[in-house]
Amino acid sequence: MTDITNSSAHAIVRAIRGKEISAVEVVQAHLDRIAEVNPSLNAVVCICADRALDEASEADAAISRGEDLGPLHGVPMTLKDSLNTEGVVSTGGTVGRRDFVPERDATLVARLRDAGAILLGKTNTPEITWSGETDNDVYGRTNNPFDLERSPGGSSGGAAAIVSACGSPFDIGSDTGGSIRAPAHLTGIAGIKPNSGRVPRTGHIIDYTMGAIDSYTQNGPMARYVEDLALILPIISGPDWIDPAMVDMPLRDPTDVDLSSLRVAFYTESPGFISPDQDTRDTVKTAVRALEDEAASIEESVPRPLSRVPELNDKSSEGDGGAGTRRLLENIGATDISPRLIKWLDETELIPTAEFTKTLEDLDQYRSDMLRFMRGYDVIISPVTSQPAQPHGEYSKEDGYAIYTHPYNLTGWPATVVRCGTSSEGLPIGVQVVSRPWREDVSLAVAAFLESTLGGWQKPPI
Amino acid sequence: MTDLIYSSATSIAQSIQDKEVSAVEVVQAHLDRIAEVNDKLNAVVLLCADRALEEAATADAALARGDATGPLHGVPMTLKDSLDTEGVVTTGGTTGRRDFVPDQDATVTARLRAAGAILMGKTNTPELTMAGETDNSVYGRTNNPFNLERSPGGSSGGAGAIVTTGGSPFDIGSDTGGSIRMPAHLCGIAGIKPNSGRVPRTGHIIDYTLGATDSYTQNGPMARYVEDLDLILRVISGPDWIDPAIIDMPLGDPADVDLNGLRVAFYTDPPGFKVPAQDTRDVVQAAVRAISDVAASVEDDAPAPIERVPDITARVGGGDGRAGTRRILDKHGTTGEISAFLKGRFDDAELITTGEFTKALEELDQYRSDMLRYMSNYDVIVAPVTAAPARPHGASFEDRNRHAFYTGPYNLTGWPGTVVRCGTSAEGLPIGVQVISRPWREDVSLAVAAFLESVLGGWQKPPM
Repeated sequence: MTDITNSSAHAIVRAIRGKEISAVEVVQAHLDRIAEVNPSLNAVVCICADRALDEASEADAAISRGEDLGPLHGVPMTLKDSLNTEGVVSTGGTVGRRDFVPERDATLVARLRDAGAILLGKTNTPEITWSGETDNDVYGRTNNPFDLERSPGGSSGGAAAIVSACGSPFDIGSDTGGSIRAPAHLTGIAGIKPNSGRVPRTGHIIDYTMGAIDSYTQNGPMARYVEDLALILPIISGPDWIDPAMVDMPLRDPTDVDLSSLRVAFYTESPGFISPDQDTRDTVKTAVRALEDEAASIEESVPRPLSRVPELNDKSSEGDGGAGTRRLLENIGATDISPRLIKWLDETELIPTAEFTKTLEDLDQYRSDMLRFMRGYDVIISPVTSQPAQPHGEYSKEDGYAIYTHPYNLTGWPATVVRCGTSSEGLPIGVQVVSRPWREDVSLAVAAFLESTLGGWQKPPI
Repeated sequence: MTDLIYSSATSIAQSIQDKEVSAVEVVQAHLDRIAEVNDKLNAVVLLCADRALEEAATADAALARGDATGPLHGVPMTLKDSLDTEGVVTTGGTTGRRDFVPDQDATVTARLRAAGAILMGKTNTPELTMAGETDNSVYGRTNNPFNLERSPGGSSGGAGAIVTTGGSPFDIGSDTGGSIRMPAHLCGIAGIKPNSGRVPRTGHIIDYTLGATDSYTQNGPMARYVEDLDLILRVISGPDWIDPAIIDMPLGDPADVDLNGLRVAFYTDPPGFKVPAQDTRDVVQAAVRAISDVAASVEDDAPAPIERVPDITARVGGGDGRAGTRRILDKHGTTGEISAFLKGRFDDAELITTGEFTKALEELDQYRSDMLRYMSNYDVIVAPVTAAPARPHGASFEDRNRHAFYTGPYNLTGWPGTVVRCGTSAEGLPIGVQVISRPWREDVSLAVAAFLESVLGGWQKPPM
């Protein structure tokens, strides 16, 4: 059982139910692994080891009584620090919440714990999740396990770094512009942004009261194996009668998807975005070749409406001159706001109200035009970001959109990232698999196929 | 033929299939009825009688060949003039489109015609559908068949007036703040605003590019009988891959709903709104008494968050100084005079800053959440539709900003709402109630409305 920390959540729960290993052993093995790698990574920023071991003992006692706690019985997890965890400090990366201990679990946290999962600790996030790198004034910077001088990306960078380095089988990230998908790609793991309306955001620092940009933010699982995304997503999905954007839409089983019926579109670069490097293009082509033998059709076709995304995203997110973000910071009791966030607020461009409502109308038109494109396809394969992991601080210097994930926050469609290749420097490169609205099953089935053909996650050299 | 014009679409379709009556006879009977009443009502503002009779002949020929499969085969209909109809003038009540002939049907129009329905004509709407009465500079004013000096309400007032009079078995309205439910109530028929995201708005004058208020507007059927609402809703629902707000959510069957399991909330006085007339309260109470015989529980419990609705609606709808409405007028080429009702919208609009505007959208999310928490305790809400039955023409204009109609709270939540006639005022005017269900549960809303119709009688023939 030396490789239990490399195992999938699926395999772990099977082993615990089969009494091949105890939950206490599983939790201890992961705590040991965190102790080993975390001084280099700074990914897990708060540990609740004692509680985790207590809960593991209870899980083992339940097994010996013949009780089943649920589909994640005894499986350890970490959770992004932007999610409220009852009794465990949840800062959201902001100094004013340095000592904030929620009285209640976020909806999805409660659901995971009800399913038998055990919280090991919290993972790092930039302040209020608002950055493409993971660094904040509460806990500092998180490093990429493939190269400590590089960033794991953000905002779910702590989650990605510790899952890739085997300190946790899975974590839950949040994704407003790519914050699950970019770090999954940069650390070589898998992650899914579910459809808008699938997973309640109640108890997440960016919750269901974001107004104009509310539909952009989704919570979703990050794990080394695609099968775990499919295991965890149904547990956290569905209305909680608090988050008003949730819909009780049936969630289908990826194993029922017939790959040979799928019409696939792909692109290696996108109008309006920074061009990807050669390694990234090559990895997309590798994924495309793998699918060629399986899918009904595959063709290079980039949705033209993507060129409008940078302007639409900027105007809808920042057109109020940062007023919404300032209200959010006030509501959560933020103090000593980081210079990075202040700079972002200062650089927002206020537009008149009439132009703002025009932007929302243009956003509807973008969504319609994207839907017309998608009528011809079941799946889109694309790059995730223009390059693999970059040195710390590079992200904020980028002029333009280097992240290929935003277009699907604006549409709200599901998108899974899975590792499909390696850069010449040995860094992981993922691809993004986008599906039609509400068809997470299709996105996950294609990602699982690519993983099985191209290998998926590989252990980092740490 | 008198029975025919007061029949349900469901039974007309059956009679045609059973060859008890031909489609030509059915269409002709309705055209005759329109000719008889429309001079007084001004409800049908454009007729396409020749095309309708040709399509009816084609429908009869298809049936003779055994080639008639649509659920509305041969059934005539009228459509609100805000819906695009290929080859038939579609003004949306605005002068810029006085002569506009669409070269394509709206999605709902195409689906109804594909299901076998036959368009007889277009029904009146206020300019851009944006008023609670039905009057415009293109076609003038529509009158209520129960009293011509009164308004059928709006914006689907033409639809409400002609359907209740037997000129058409059904029509499709649009509802951004009550425009299906209010005229249904004031004309004594049934109508449903489906859940946001159920019926595509492609080809409706208020379409899927409304931005901040996009989720408010739904298209839905208006008919004399609740069974027809279910039949027609099925035909027009589901994604068209153009309207991006539409999702492929399963639609339940009202016949499968168990009324005995339902927890019902009701209220007669909506907090934050004008107090209703005694007749109106009495009718809600009558509906509540009927339902209390079958439901699991019935409780007098108004949702407190609806008191925020007038303020949120004003800021989200008018906060840009009606720049969005101006863009719609520009798009349709209306450059000159606009109708008094629409001008009132511009006059009432208060421009707020962009920072205040995004705050209003955040408060709308919070309202929706608070309403959902309330609704987690109930399956159905029974409520009044407007403060009074049909009123003299122009009264809504004087009444504006007094919050005399109670439908808006459910445009903001997006939940289904069916209206069905449940009583009569002292003056003999119809009074409906509003049956709201949980998100996406049109089946529950329709099942309760059908029950109330069966107990309290539903539609009654107007005296004309």
